[in-house]
Amino acid sequence: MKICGPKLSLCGLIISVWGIIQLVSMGLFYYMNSVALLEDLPIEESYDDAKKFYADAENGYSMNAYNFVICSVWDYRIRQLLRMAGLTDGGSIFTSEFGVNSNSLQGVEDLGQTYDEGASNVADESLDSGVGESGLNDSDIRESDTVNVELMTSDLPRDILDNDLIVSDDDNDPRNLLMENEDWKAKERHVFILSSSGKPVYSRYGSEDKMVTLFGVMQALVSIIEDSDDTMESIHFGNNVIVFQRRGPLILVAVSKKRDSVVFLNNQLTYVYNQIVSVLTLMQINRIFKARQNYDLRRLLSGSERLIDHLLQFHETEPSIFVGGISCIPMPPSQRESISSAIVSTCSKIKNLVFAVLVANNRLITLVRKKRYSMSPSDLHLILNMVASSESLKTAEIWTPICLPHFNANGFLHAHVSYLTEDTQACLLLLTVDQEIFFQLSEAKMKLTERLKKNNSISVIDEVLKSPPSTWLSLHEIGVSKIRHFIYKCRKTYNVLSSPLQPPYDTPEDANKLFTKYQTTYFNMMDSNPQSQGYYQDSPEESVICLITDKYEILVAMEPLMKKQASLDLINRLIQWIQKEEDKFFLSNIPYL
Amino acid sequence: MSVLRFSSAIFETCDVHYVFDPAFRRLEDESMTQRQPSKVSPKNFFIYNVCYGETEGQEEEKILFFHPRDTNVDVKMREVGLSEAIVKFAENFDAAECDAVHTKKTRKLFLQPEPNFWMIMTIHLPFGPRSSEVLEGSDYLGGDVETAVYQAVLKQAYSTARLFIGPFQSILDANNGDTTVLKKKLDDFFKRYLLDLRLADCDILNVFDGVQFLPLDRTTFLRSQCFVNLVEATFPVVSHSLLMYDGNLVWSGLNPEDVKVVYRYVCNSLLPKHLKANYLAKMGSSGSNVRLTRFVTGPDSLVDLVYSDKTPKVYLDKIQRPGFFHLVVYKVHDLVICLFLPKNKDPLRLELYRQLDVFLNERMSELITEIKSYRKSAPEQTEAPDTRYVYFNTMNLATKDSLRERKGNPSSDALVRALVRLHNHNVNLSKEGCLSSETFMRMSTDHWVIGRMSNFRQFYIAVERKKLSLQEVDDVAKRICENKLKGIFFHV
Repeated sequence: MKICGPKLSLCGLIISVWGIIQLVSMGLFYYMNSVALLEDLPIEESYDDAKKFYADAENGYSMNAYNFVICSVWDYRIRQLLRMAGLTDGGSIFTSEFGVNSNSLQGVEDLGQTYDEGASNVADESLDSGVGESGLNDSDIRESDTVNVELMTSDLPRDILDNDLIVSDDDNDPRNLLMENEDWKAKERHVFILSSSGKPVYSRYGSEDKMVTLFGVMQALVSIIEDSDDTMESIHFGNNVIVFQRRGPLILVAVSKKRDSVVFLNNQLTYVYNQIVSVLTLMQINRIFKARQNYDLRRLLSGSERLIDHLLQFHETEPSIFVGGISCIPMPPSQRESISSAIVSTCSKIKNLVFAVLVANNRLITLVRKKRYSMSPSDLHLILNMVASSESLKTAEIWTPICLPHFNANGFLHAHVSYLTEDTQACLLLLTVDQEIFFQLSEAKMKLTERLKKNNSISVIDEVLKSPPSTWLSLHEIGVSKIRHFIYKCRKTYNVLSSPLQPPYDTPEDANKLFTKYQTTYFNMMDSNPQSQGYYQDSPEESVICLITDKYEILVAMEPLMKKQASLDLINRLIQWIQKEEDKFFLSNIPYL
Repeated sequence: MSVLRFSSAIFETCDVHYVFDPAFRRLEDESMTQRQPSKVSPKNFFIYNVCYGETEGQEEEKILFFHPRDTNVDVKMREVGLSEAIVKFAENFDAAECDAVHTKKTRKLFLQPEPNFWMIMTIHLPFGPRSSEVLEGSDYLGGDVETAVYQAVLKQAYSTARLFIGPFQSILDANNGDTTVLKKKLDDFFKRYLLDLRLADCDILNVFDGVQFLPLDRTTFLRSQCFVNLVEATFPVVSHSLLMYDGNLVWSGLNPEDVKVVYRYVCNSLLPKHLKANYLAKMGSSGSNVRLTRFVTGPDSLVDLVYSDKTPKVYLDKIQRPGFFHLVVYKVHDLVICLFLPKNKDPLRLELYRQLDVFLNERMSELITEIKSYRKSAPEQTEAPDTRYVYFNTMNLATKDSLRERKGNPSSDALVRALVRLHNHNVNLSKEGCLSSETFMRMSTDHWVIGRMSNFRQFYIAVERKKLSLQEVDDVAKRICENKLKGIFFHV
C-alpha cells in the first residue's frame, strides 16, 4: 500500500515521541502539584472539610504523578502482549485511568482541553471549600492561592499528612513489601482486590500503588475472557493456583502456592467480598461504580485493610470457618441459659434491637435475636473478625455501622460493641437498625454487666477461658485416645466442636499441615460429582477420615495403620459422646428478645 | 491401551470429521433434546514459538500451527496473545510452568515441550443438565472434566509428533531458523492426528500413558529374548527391536520413554489400520486368492517389480545416538516384531525384506505356539463384573487394567473420573514426600473408589456394588490385588 510508506511511519514515530514527552511532562506537572490539573485528580466532587480536601488533593497529585511516570516507562513487552491479545484500543486499559493515551492524537488533544478548562474549575472549587470553612490557618490559605506549590509538603501540618489515606510508614507493615522482593514472592497466599476498571483496591502483601502493572494485567485477563462471553475461573501452574472471582464491579483474585483447592480459595474470596460489603453495603458499592467507573475504592475502605488482613488469617487458621459453622465456649447449659435470660430481660424493652451477641476469644457465648430474624454463620464470622481485629475496643465502647451481607446486604445495622468489663474477654455486641439509640444501648450494657456480675456469670466465663481445654474435652477420657484431632459440625445448628491441638499438631506448622489436609479432603469431597460421603486415607503420618451424613460432618485425624473397623468404631464412640454432651458445647436454643 | 486412537474404529466408516467442526457441535447441542450433556470437544489447538514475531506487526510469525485452520488471523493472534499473557502473569508468582486455565465454558491446557515452544489446546466443557435427576436447566459441567486427562492428551500429541518429525528446535536449526519447513511438517502431521483424536473417550489410562506387558514364565520369556537377539545378530543392520504379542509388550531394547510412544503408535494406529486394510482386501477380492504380506510397514508385496520404500521414519531419542530410523513391522498372527534400522540416504532394498520374511516367518510361528501353550496353562482369572481396576508402575510404565469393559455408562464414567482425582491426590502426596497411602472414598451413589500407592506402584479400583462396609470394600480390594498382581507387595 502506498499510504503506509516511510512517511507515515515517520509521522507515527513523531506522534509517539510526543506522547512520551507529554506523559513525562504531565508527570512533572502533577509532581509539582499544578493546580491546573486539579480537575483530573481522583477526589470527591465536594468537600465540607478543607483539611480533608488538601490531604486528598496532595495524595491525588503524588499518585497521578507516579502513574504518569509509570505510563511512560511502561514495560514494552506487556503492552505488546496485550495489544496482541485483542486489546486493539492499545494501552487504553492502563492508560485510560491515567487520562492519557500515549499513542493517539486523541489523547493529546484531551490533555490540552483539560489544561484549559481545568484552571477555571479549580479556582471555583477551591473558593467553595474556602468559603465553607471559617477557621483556615495560614498554610491552608497559601496553598489554595498559590500555583507553584513546591513547599506544600514541608509546610503542611503533620496531622493533615497523617490523613487516613496515607499508608502508615511502619516497617513491619506487610504492605511495604515490594513485588520484586523475594519475601513477596515467597508468601504462600496472596489476595488482590481490584475494580473492574483495574484500579487497585487491596493487596494482602505489598503496596497496591507499586503493583499497578500487576493489577492491570489481572483486569486485562478477566476482561479479555469476558469479551468472549466467558468467565475466568482459575489458572493452575505447578503447585500454584490463581482463582478469579467477579463480583459486580469488583474483581477478587487469590493466589496460593500450596495446592489449595479452588473451592477453598473461592470460599476465602467470598468471605473477603462479604467483609467489603459489610463495610460499605452492596448498594453503596454499586452506586459508586455506576457513577464513576474508575473510582478509587481505597478511599472508602481505608482502615478496613486491617479487617481483611485479619479475616484472611482467621479463615486459614480457624477450623470452624472452613466447615462453615460456629464454635461456642463450653459451659454448663444452665449457666448459658442464665446469661441469655439476663440479656433478654435487660434488652427486651429496647425497640429496634435485632441481635445481642456475646463472644469471647473468637467463639460464641450466646446469641439472642428478634423473632423471625436469624444470624448466618458467615455473618457471625464477620462480627468475630471485627471484634478480634479492633484494638481500640479494649478500652472504649464503639458505635459503628456494620452491614451483615446475609441479613441485609443493602443496609447497615448499628452495632454497640464493648467488653463487659475491662479485664474480661467477653465482648457484647448489640445490633440495632436505629441509628439514634447509642445512649440507650450504652445504659443497657451497664445494667447487663451489673446483672452478670451479680449472678457470677462473668467470673464463670473468665474461668472457662482460663482453664485448659482438656478440662472440657479430653480424648483420653472419652476413651478414644487413638484419635488425635477432630472437627465435628452439626448440620442442623451449624455448631462446631473441635478438639484442642495436641502433639503432634501443637506447633503452628504442624497444625497448618493438618488443616491443609483437612481442607483439601473436605473440599474435594464437596466438589466431586457425584458427591462423596465418606473418605478414609491412611498414610504413614496419620489417617484422615471424613464422614458427611445428613446430621453431621466430621473430620478426624487418627493414628496411622489401624484396622479399618476399629477406627470406625472409635469414631462412632466419639460421635455418641458428642451427641450426649452437646448441650455443653453447642448453642442449640437461641432465645428471642 | 490408549484411547488416542489413530482411526482405531476398525470397521466404522470414517465420519469423525465433525469432531473439530464447530457447526456440527452446535447441531449436536440442539439435537440432544436437553437430557444428555454434550461431550467434551476441542475448540482449538495451536503451537507457537515465543522467539519469533517479537517486533510489532509481525507477531503472526510466532504461530507455527493453528487449528482450526480457517480461523481469522485476528482471532489467532488474540488466542496466542492471551496464552502468552497468562504465562507471563503466572511468572510473577512462581517459576513453575503454566499447566491449565479454567474458565466457565472451556479448559485451556498449556505445554512447553521444548524451550520457547508452547502447545496450547482449548476444549469446550460438556454442557447439559447437572445430573439425571435434575429436569430443568443446563450448565457447563466443569466438574465432569478432569484436567489431568487432557494435560496428558496434549503431552501425547507432542510425543507422537516428535516421533515422526523429530524435535521442533532441530528442524529450525537445520533450516537456519526459517519456520517454513517446520510449519509444513506440523501441518501435515497434526491435520491427520487431530482428526482422529477423540477427547470424550480419554480417561485415566491417558494419564498413565503406560505399556501393557505380557506375563510370561521364565523359559518362554528367555526364548523370546533369544529370538530377538538372534534377529539382531543375523541382521546387523537392525539396531533396535521390540516384540509384542496380542497388544502386550514381550521384550524391548529401547528406553521406556521411547517404548511408550512407539507402543502407542503401533497398537493404536498401525495394527488397526493393517487389520482394516486386510479385511477390506479380503472382502473386495472375494474368491481370488490375494496373498497378504506379513509386513505391516514395508513393501505391499515381495515380488513387486515396482518397489517403493514405504516404511515410516521415526525419531528415537533416548538412545546413544538419537536420530531417525526406518520402522519395519512384521506380523505373524498375534506376534509382532518391530525393527528399527538407521535411516541413511539409501532406501531399504527389497532383497532385505525377502531375507527378513524367510528368516522371521517360521521362527515366529514356533514362538507363538510356545507362548500360547504357556498362556493356556496359566489362565487369567476374571473379576466380578462390578469391579474395575487399573494398575500402574511409574518405574517401568507397566499398566494393567480392566476399565474398558464397561465403558459408556454415565455412573461408571463418573467413578473412573473419581479415580483420576484419587490419582491427583496421590501424586500431590508423593510430591510432599509421602510415598505410600491407601484411600477409600464412598460416593453419594453408594459406590466406592479405592486408591493404593506404594513407592512407585499405584493401584486404583472402582467398586460398583451397593451397601458395602469399609471392611468389606477393603477385603474386595485385597482380593483383586492378590489375584491380579501376584508377587507385588503393597504396603502402606
